[in-house]
Amino acid sequence: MERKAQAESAAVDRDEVLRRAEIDASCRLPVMAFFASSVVWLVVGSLLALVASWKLHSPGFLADFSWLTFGRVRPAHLTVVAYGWASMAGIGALLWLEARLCRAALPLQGLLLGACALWNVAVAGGTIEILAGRGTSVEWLEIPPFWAGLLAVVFLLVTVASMMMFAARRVSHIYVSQWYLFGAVLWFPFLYVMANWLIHMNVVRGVTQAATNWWFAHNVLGLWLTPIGLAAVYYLLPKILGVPIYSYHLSLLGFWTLALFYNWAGTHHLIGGPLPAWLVTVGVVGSVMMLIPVATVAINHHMTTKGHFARLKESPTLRFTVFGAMSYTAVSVQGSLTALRSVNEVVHFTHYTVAHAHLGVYAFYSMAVWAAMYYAIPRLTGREWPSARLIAVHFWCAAVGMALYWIGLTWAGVEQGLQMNDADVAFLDVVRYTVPYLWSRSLAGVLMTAGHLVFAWHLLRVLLPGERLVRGPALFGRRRAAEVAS
Amino acid sequence: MSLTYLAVWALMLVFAASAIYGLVWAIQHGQLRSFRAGARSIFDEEEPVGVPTDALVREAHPPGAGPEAAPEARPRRGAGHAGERGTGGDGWGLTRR
Amino acid sequence: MSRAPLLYVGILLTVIASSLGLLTLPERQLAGLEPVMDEEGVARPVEPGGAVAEGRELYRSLGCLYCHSQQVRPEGFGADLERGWGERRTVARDHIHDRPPLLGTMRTGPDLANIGARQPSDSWHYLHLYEPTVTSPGSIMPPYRFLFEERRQVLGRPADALELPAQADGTVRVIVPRPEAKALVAYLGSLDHGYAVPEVP
Repeated sequence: MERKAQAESAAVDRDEVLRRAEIDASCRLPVMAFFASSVVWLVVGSLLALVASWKLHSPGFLADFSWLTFGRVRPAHLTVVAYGWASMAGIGALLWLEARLCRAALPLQGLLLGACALWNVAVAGGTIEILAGRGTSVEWLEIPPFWAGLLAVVFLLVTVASMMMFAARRVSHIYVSQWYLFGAVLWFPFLYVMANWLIHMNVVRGVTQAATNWWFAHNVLGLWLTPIGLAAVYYLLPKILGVPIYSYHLSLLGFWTLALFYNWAGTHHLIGGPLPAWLVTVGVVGSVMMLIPVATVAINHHMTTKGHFARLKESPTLRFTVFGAMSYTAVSVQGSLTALRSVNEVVHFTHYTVAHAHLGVYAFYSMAVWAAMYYAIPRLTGREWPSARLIAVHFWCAAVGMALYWIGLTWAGVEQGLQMNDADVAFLDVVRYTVPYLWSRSLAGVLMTAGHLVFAWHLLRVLLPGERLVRGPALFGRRRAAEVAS
Repeated sequence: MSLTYLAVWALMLVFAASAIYGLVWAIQHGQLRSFRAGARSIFDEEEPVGVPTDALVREAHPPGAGPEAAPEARPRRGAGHAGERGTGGDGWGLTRR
Repeated sequence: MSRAPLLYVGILLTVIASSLGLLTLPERQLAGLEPVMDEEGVARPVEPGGAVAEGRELYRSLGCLYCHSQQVRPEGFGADLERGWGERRTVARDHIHDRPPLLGTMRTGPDLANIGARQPSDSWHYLHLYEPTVTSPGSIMPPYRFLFEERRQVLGRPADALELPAQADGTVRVIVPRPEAKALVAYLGSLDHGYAVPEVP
């Protein structure tokens, strides 16, 4: 079959064949616009995070500005990083990956540029509304309905562009990354429109709104960010190493079990809450069943990388990719365990959950998207990253910051949960116990933010005209050589 | 309560079993005969299997800059950078839809 | 895989199935829930109105939910009842008027499902909102001083002035709640799920 396919390919009219460089060039403006915007939001989101984190151990900090009260800065942080940073970086990566995998030029370039601009407006508008006190207090859906509607309309363009590339694809085989990307561009608009409509228009009532809330909030990670992150890993890992995925059959099983089970997992956020028991049980079981897709992905990625770990020393992209892939396994297994009632009884309502969420969105997703950016941006712009050292600084700030963040808050969360479940411990004593760990979170946040600032500065150097173009990619330990060659 | 638990578990296990059964059935009946080849669909003559990308710098190395610049480990330039085409490649090994 | 339609249908079916199962089914199951009459013939839960409704909007606007839950877990699951956060677990019926329900997922501060019954004193709430550490030493709740105003030249002490401890120089500032603070405290005072429901024997 393979031979036959190759023989056929030789007969393809050369004019029809788009070279990789031409495809990358077709993506340049829209994808770079999404990437650059996302990095601005990353910095804004990090600063909001620092303000929120600082307020938790020093509540007097900036306390007299109603716009900066903790209960507004925290959802503003979430909105900015989820819809500004993660989604915009994700859309950029998604469009570029789709174009490469379909071997089709990116369509609707002008419209997508406009979409990027409008998306920025919607995120900015939503965030300002939240800070001004018009947030909805529905977690992950804090953006007021008007701006949320704008986001949904703009997203349709991304879906349409993806569909057009898919229809124009020049390869009959649909690669594993494309399954996930196709899922992401269909799942996200469905989830986002349904959740906003059902909750903000009060189509469903009472605690069903809470069920809808967590159906959405869990799926926005599982069926929007996770597929993009996994698609990036499934593409980058083999491409960087020059090795095909270890078991393609396993990847098929992994995709469909994710589609089947992730959908049902969200209600585990409501264990112990005033909902019908069966509804919560479905969430628990769905979460535990997620072990199947996670195991398939973990085995696949590990076996693909096995024997090539030495390359972590030199390839920055690979380092981010592998960190992200390993964190995916870690966060998913942790998630399945957390959904067990006995574990949830302790860690629900504590800082443990906050650490868990960051393990997913930061250690897995953001690392995977950074990997895609480090790989794609030189190929999109024709300008290499100027400094391998800056990439290393970014990586270590993010990795060490994340580790500190997770360890501190997970430990604090478990202890906080155990103490809260012991009625003999006064509540304020529980609060006092957590304060040193809240400081450790702020310290971790400073480290992560420093990494983001380095990354933003580095990207600026790539984008600024007049910056010396360094040919050849930045590799660890080869900085001199790369610069000599230029 | 425990009955709900059992019912939901049973349902989810049926889901999982059907997914696994579907995969096994598809493999046994040749539905996926050329499937593994799909894993190679992201490689082509410009960036073939066995050649790492993201190591393009090696070509930018001055000759003899280090032991890792051995010829067999040296990836081809490929179309790593927009606007710079590989010269020797004859396309992507495409299949018509 | 080369079957695009299969992919398309599978992706949509999985998410439609979960939305039917997790959203439509409970909506149908819970649609018939009605308020219950307490001993005084008042329909519970009471639909928020007036200052209580305004206060609820302020609770949303200030993001109180990010640190305070409003749900009491059942007996034997956590220590919510032992901590005195409620006399019974909360049930779906308690939230039939809530748009949206403010169940919360975090307990940086204590649960507030029954705060109206647990802390009926308005003046306590005003003090606590103005400067949390006055009533709760060690608290990390932010002060909401922007919900209050300072009266400069006053003849006599306003009835609603906060009973703050004297400052270092011995003077006592005259602080009174703004209407927002009054609405918020009215809402907090209304939070009481102590009435009997058929779900909890």
